[in-house]
Amino acid sequence: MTEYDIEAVAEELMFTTSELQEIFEIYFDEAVHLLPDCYAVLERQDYMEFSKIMHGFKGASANLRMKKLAQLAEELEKRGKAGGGAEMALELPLLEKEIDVVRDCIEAFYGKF
Amino acid sequence: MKRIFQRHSLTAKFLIFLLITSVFPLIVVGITSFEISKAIIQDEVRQYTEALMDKQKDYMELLLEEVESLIANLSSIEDIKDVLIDGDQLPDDYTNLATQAKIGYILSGYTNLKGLVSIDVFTLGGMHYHVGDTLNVKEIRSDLKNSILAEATASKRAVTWTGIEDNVNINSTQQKVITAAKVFRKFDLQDMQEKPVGLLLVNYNVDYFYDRFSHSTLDPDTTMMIVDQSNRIVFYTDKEKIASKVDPDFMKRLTQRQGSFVDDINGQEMFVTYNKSSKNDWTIISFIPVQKLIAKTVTIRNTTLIVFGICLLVIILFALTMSKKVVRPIRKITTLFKEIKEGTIDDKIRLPEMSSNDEISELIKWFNVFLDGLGEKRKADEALSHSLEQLERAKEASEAANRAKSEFLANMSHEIRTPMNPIIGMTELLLDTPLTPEQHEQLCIVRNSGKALLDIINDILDFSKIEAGKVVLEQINFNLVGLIVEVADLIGCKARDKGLEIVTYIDPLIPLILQGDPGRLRQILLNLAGNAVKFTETGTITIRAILMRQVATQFDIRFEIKDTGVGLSEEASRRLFQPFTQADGSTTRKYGGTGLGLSISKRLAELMTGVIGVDSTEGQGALFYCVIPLQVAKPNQDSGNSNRADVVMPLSVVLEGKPLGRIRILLAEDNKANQKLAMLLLQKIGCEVIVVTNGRDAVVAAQGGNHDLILMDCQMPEMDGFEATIAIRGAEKNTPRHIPIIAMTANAMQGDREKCLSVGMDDYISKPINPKQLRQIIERWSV
Repeated sequence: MTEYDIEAVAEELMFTTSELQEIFEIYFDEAVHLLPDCYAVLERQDYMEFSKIMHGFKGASANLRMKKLAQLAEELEKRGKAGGGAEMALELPLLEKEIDVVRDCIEAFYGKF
Repeated sequence: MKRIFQRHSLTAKFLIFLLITSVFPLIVVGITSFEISKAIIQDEVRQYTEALMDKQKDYMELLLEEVESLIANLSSIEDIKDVLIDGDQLPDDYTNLATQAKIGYILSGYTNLKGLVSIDVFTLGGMHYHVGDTLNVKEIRSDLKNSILAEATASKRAVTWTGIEDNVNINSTQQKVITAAKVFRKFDLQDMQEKPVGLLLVNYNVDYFYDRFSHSTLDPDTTMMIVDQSNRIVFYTDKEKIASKVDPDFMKRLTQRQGSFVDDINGQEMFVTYNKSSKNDWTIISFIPVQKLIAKTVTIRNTTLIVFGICLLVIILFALTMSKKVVRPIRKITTLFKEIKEGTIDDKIRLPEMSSNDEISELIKWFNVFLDGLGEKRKADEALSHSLEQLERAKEASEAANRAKSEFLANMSHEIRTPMNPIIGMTELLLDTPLTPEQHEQLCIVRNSGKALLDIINDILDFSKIEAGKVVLEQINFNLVGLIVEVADLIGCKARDKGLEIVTYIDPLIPLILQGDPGRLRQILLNLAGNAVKFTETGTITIRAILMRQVATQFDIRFEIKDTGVGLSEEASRRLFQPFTQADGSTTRKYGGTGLGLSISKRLAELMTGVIGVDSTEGQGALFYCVIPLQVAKPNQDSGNSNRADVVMPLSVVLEGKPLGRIRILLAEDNKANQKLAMLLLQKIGCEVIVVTNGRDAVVAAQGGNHDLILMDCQMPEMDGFEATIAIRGAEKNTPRHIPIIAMTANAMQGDREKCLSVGMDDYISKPINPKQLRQIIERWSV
């Protein structure tokens, strides 16, 4: 994920990279719980809840300028709001993969969390 | 004619003019001359012919007089008289023969008259004595003789000319003769009156008579005729016609003794001249063809035509020459003027100057001078254009340099300002900690100096942004009363320190809620009011807002800041709004400041399409004013609170980069990463942040806490932001309190903002959070 430029994001948000690092740590702590929560709500077919989870994830990703993740989350949020379907679970690995890519990129900058 | 003149060229007009003024009179003169000449010639011919006819008549009468003389001589011979007196008695044969011989002898003595055919004497007794061309006189035309006798008897003339007649002597060689007759008479004693006793006839030769006139000196085309009293032709050029009768109708036209007229004779127009003899009523007539007369005037006509043709040719040549001399230069000048207009003229072209000293020569000369001037003007224009291009390039370079300078200034100011915030913020935090009086004083100096420095930096930054065209005005609803009060409050502290009174007045005709950029308007008013306090030692500062004009929804409001301070000279007033300019150098030393405040205010006012100015007399205070057009508030914007006077809750002059001070913010956000990010951002601008993770906690915190502003995530567990806002607003009901709630949501759909405002939120900021936007919105709403 070469597009994710941590220094540029820090500059845009008027943070130092170390300040940004604290936020990244919190973000990924939350992301760990994100996917199990998603699978759980999809299993019980609570698509509205699924949509809310995606909404929160979208906002956090957008704040940190993780554009692709924000787009994926928004798409899933919309589908959940529209009634969605169990097949949305099939797309979660895509989201998971993208999270891993971003994480790798950030860990490459800061070292492993 | 007018159309013809309008349609034709100058050459054609000139030609027509010459033809009218020269050729037309020439034609008139020519025709008149021709007609007069013709009349004169005809008159001369008439006079000449009449004189000729007179001579011919004289000649004829001379011939007749010869005959009449002969008759007179014969009449006087006694022997003949005796024969005639006794003629009524027939003599015996011997006597008769003797008488015959004697009379014959007598008569033969008179036969030498040229043209004489015969002399005949008749007695009433039937005797006939004859001498002439024949000896056989037995046969005579008795009826003719009697007729002549009767005519002669009736005539009062001594001799009667019977005209051309048959010869009485049947055997004469001349069957047609001209006969003159005389009647012999004797006085009858019984009747006592004269009685005819005999007749004397003299027959004259027609051929001889013809010869006498045939050689007359008449023109070959002229014919002459002598007509007797019985309209018989006695003489005519055409001999065959002699003795024939002339048309009586023609003869009726010969009413005078002499005269002339024109008549159609046998299809030919003839000039007729006639003269009647008083001797025998014979008429001499001449016929001259009119064509012959006119022929003499043809020369005049032809000469006139030739002269006319020559004149015409000369006129045309003259017109063409004039055209070449006058019209051609004019045409050339016209063409060149067209080329000048189209910009295709050759700068080097000049018209050849003429040697003459007339108007055309002058025109060419001055046109060439004009072309010289035009060439010089073109060169000057090109030089000017070149200079302008250079100037434009220099201007662009200068503007680019100015922009670069402004950007550099902005960047530098920003870079300087950024560390200033923590300096001031940390200083204020330190001031809240236990300090020794000396430390507190020193820290106050640090804080105040920092703030002063920040003010200067902010001024420079503002000015740079305005110069770089980077200032974007807002169009939001605001409460003008609140804004004026805020300005008054802000300068109130310093004013009170100087013992100044502050008076505010707002025109009641101005709507409470207007739409515009309240931040920038506040900046202008605060600058003007701040200056008023700065330059006034005693008296009053008056802040007024007056409605100048209303057009539809636009309100032109005049803001006035009047002071009783030192005032300004006229010269200082003129340059006051220029950047880096103060009233005079001593002002900077005495009062400080960058001199940018009024310049920024002027530019901001102009950005709002307003004006700014000052009326002042030195030593008598100053009246600063600005007229700003503002729109009346739209009813559907910020409808939840737009009618409240506390929509704009003035706290401080909050310019970008300045620490916001201790603003307490309640952050309602469930996502921990978002919480951390927002907290860091808010703390960086000096805010105190209390975080709650759902709407319910937010409602509780809002009721219990002393927050200046709530940042509310819309979607949260347990209670979302909308419900929480409704609950908070419900709790505020019937209280003067109104805490600004700013929605903070990742929803960026159209209508989200309206949804937030409809539940009572005051503003809206979308995720991803933009630090600058967050700062601005807190600046705007912090209380």
